[in-house]
Amino acid sequence: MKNQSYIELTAMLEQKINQLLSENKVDYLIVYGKGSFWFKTRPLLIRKQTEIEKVIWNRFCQFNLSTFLKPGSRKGEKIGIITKKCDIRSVVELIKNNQINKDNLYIIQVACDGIINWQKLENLLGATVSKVIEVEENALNFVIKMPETNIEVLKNDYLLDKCLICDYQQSFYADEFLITSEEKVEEIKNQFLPSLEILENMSYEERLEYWLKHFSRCMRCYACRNVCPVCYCPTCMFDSQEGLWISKESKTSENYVYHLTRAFHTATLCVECGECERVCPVNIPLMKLNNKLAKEVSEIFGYQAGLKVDEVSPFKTYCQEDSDEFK
Amino acid sequence: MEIVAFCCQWCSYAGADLAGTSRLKYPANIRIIKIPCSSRINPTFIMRALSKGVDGVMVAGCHPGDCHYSTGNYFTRRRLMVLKRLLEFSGINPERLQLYWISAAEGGKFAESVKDIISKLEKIQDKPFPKNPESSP
Repeated sequence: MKNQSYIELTAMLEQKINQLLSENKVDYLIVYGKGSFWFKTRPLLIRKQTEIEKVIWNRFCQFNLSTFLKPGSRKGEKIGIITKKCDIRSVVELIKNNQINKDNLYIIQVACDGIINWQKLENLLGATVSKVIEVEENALNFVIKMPETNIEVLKNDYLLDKCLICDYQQSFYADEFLITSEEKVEEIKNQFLPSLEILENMSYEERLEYWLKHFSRCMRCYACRNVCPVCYCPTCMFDSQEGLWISKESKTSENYVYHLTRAFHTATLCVECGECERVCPVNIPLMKLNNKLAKEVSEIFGYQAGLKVDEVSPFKTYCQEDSDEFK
Repeated sequence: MEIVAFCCQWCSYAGADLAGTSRLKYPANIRIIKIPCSSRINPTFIMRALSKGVDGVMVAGCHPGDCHYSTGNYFTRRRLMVLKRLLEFSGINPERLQLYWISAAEGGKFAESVKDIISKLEKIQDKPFPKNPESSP
């Protein structure tokens, strides 16, 4: 990808990482590295200055790296982490729930203009992204270079859904905010989001049918749980040997209980990063459940996850004046 | 029709006891499970019961402010408010989950609550998860 600001940002990032490692401010950094294809990236841990050239930053860095901050993977070392504006919310959520010590963390926030959704690109092209040679961009459009033709598409149509409502500001919790000198943050706020209304307006039977259709495909690989940055229980209740909460067989009704329980457990923690839906091998629209719960929690309690470290999650506190909708 | 009732041991279970000793009549569709406090309810209890084919789940606890553990039922209320919306969104009629506040002195209210949930469930036609696994989706 040839985009001047991303090249510039990568250079700044390398410089910053070099500085951090040489001054021993961190033991290792969690960064984005090159993936198996040009349009893929993968998470990378780097400990040595010689590895810095592997660091990349482009429009395909869609992982939420804070997953690797979960307790199982740390041993009191100082960690540096690259985050986007959206990922930093899950880091905040981990700090808030005492899963990681802020003092051992160095957060580098990198300016981000939105991440390309290559599934949307594939739908447009009708072919795999690997056929694409390069994606260039100008002020408003992506130019997709194919062997024969060039296709120009509007940027907003091919970004991840969450990017459309992101405001790109510096987070209060970032130790370092990397942004290019010529600040050209594009105004793509307040976009239309594929809403929940279609589902909400269905009848119960239609909705049940919709979910059972999707959950019947689930093979309970638990990828959605494992990738989730806020699913940090040392032993998940579904792995627990003391009493089987759901049977091991992959039955639709058991899958239903699993997905609903998971959605409920992350109800006040979910920062809507979309990782669960991205990793799902059978494309279950899990974010619809999460978005709905986040929406309800913010409507009932006026709470949004991942904004402030000192806020208390609504399930951990109570209020006598809560509306009593039950008798 | 089958209903699972989770009753807190300090208020609602004692209320059910009182309904029995006062010889009040209420429908026999109910299976009572005693729990230490209504906040002991793990939402998975409810989802699991529904997925195993019960028609409705009734949660009963002390009146807000009267919890034996001071604040347990406030937490229950918050959780079940969200759970109810989640069930609704995922295709289960929210009427299938009912929360009642029943004190130990309210044997009459316990009997009324059981009648109430039965009358509500009778209006709901289809059952999301039939008990017979062969016909389940």
